[in-house]
Amino acid sequence: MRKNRFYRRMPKAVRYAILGVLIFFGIWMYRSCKADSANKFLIEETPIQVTKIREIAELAVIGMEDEFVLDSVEYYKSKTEKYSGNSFKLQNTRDFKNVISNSEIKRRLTLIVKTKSKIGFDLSENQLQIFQNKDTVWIHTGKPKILSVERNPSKTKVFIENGSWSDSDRIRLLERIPKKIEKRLKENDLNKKVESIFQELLIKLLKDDRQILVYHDL
Amino acid sequence: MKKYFFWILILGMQLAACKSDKAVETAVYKIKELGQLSTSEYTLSKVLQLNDKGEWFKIGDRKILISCQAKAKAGVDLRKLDISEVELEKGYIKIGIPSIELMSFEMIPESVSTEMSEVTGFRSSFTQEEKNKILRQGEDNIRKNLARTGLYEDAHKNTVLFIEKFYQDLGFTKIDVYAQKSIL
Repeated sequence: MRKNRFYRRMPKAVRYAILGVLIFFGIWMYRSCKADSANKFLIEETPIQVTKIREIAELAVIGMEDEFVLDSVEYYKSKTEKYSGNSFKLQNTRDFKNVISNSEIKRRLTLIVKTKSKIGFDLSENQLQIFQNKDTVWIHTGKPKILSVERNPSKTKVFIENGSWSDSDRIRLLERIPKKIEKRLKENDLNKKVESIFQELLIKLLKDDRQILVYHDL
Repeated sequence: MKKYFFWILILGMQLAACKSDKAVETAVYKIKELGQLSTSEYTLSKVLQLNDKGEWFKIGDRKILISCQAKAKAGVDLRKLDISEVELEKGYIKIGIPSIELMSFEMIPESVSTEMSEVTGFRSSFTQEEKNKILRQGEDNIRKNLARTGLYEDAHKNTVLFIEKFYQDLGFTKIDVYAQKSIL
């Protein structure tokens, strides 16, 4: 009652000033507790070291551009685990929303990765052999294989991140990509396409009227 | 007046908490025919260092060190080879190779490792999303400095050696390989 009287006696301007300070303090508290954002990150300048130099001879014959969704999810096994897991998540402002939704998910990481992969032949010395006679040129190579898979951070998007995830967890997810590409190659019989394109390229390079045959060990 | 003041306050707070979303990128995914001969491969390593002091209203610091490696391959695109300019005589070939290009650039996922991370005050630990953003900067930095490593010079030298060996195996005794365009 006394408080109320005191409040009424205050001039309007002072009342609004107090209200303004309280709002400012509330926003400050909210922002300082709010999850950190990575938008303003700037790494420091450090040197680049060349750790390995290799002389190679790889001929990429086809390039594939793709997008993969990699998802890893773990569920709580019991109610007790759920309560203890959720109380742990409460410590982190980032996971707060997941606790409120009372989800059964213990943790989840979903990545969307745009990849560029190249398939072709290793033509290094022991892999490439040439035999010829007056009518035919035989070129012996290794089997077509995946030469590179670009899974770079610039083309990776962390779509969902619930709970705590380590570097090795992310690596395990990214390691699935080459296996998926290999499967796709087999399913679409792309190795045959690789061989025919390679043959066309050799004809162009050799500028030879003879028959050119490419083969590899089974 | 009081009624409006309350609603203006609510609206202001809502706007302050708003975050703008970028439009989703769309792309066409396809298979491309290539003819890229890579002749030099460099493995590069870098330690990414971040000291995130945060904005003035944040209490505490965050520091992280991430080590990573990238593999870069350089060589020539044989589809750009101008066959009309190839001179062929008995046992002699003169061939101009196209300019050296970066053929592939891979940040090796297995090599990424958090060496040190320290979080103080009310700050939150680094998430995978944040680490990915740090790695993006590292990737960009390595790419920008590739030319200084000597990768392209090596690739040119190795390409000439490969072409010479290839035509030697086909029976040519005199092989003249030159750069079609200035590469360096």
